[in-house]
Amino acid sequence: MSDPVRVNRGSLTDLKNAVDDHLKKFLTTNQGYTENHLHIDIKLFLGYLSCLFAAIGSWYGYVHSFDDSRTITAVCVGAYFFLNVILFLYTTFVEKDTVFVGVKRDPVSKSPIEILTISANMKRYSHIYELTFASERPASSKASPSKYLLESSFGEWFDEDGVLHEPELERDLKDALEKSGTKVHVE
Amino acid sequence: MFEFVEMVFMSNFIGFVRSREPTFNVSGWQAATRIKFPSFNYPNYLPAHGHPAPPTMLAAVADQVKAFRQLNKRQIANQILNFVMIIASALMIWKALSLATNSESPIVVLLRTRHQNDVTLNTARPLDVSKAQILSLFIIPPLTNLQKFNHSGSMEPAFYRGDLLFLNMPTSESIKVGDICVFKIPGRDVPIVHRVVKLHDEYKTGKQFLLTKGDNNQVDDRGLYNQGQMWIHRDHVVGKVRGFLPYIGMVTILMNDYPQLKYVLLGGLGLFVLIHRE
Repeated sequence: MSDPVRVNRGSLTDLKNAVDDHLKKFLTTNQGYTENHLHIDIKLFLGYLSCLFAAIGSWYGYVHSFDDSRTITAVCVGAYFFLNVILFLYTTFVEKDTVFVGVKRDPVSKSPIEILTISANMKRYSHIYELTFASERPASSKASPSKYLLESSFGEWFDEDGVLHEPELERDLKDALEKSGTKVHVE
Repeated sequence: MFEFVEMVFMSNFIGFVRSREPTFNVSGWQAATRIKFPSFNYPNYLPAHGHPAPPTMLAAVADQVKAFRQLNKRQIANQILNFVMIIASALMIWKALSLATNSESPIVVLLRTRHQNDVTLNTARPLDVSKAQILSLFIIPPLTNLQKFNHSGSMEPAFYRGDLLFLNMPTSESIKVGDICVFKIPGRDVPIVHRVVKLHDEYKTGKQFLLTKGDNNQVDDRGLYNQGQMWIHRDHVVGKVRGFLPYIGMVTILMNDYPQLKYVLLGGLGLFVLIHRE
């Protein structure tokens, strides 16, 4: 990438987002993983569906009088809050802190060789970023995925201007991939 | 708010790389001084000065905008969803409140004074009236859909201009003398907030006939009603005033008097929500 990624080095959110974005790019373009968009697709679907109910309820109430629109408005309001509760539960219990889910497929048979799940953890006001690499092989008999915890300070990857140094980050990611049991593809 | 504290803490930790490796444009310096330096695997985009750029607001905004341009389709959809969800949440909370109180507009604001020689009146006296305007601002709280009223001082000393009134309309209770009601006269779009002073119930059907009067007015509202109308009924009433908050409605009054302020605020807030991630 020709354009350097520069973030506000004082903002933990920006740092995390920059690292996550580069992580996804690195794994999909460099290491041959295909990103699984299930989590974000479900969140987008639930979100937009609830907004659709909100729009229908508001429009109907605007066009018709209050007494006439009472039932439709009640249904739409109920649906909106119900969908939002479902969305919250999904984010909290199903997605948890997952950042990336990728699949490496066999180029011939298209069956999945390995499913890589990366989850991120970050404490408040702490410069340490914890990435857990969980590698699961459907072919092997092991039930639980082999995990590796990459614990590093953001200062390892960002300089004083807030520019992200990709070689350093990719070196740490490759190291984590190896230790979690993946064969790392070296460019 | 917390981001300030974050920035102070984080700026101490980020920058370890800087102390280990140079970050100036090596090839440019090489050419200038004609000294052979070992070639680092460093891209040329790094700044040519020796100290970090100060974290200004403009630089931070520029960074965020640049980061926004590099988002993929799903992430952009997520940002738009965040913005739409805020508006939808405000609307749905308003509708839920409206259903719970059984009133078309559960929160209203008293607006502005107006003297009027109303041609529909039988008398020619200028009458202090308390009139209302409906404003449909379907935007985020606290700029939600508040009905606004022209307040004249006809309900003083109870309510003044800028007060926020909370209404409800319970189906089980009947309207009593002394209730302060917000009602709409048919044919006019302007609600009025006055007190009920006389009540007649039709014996057989139980239909209520109401006569209203502003506390600070000299005469009752028969002059305000339509030609030949002596009473109003329960279905003209939007709700009974249950409580109020003083001065809070001034925000909505400002929005009404300066509509550009409304658009600027909404536009600014929308832009912020769209650009800012998480």
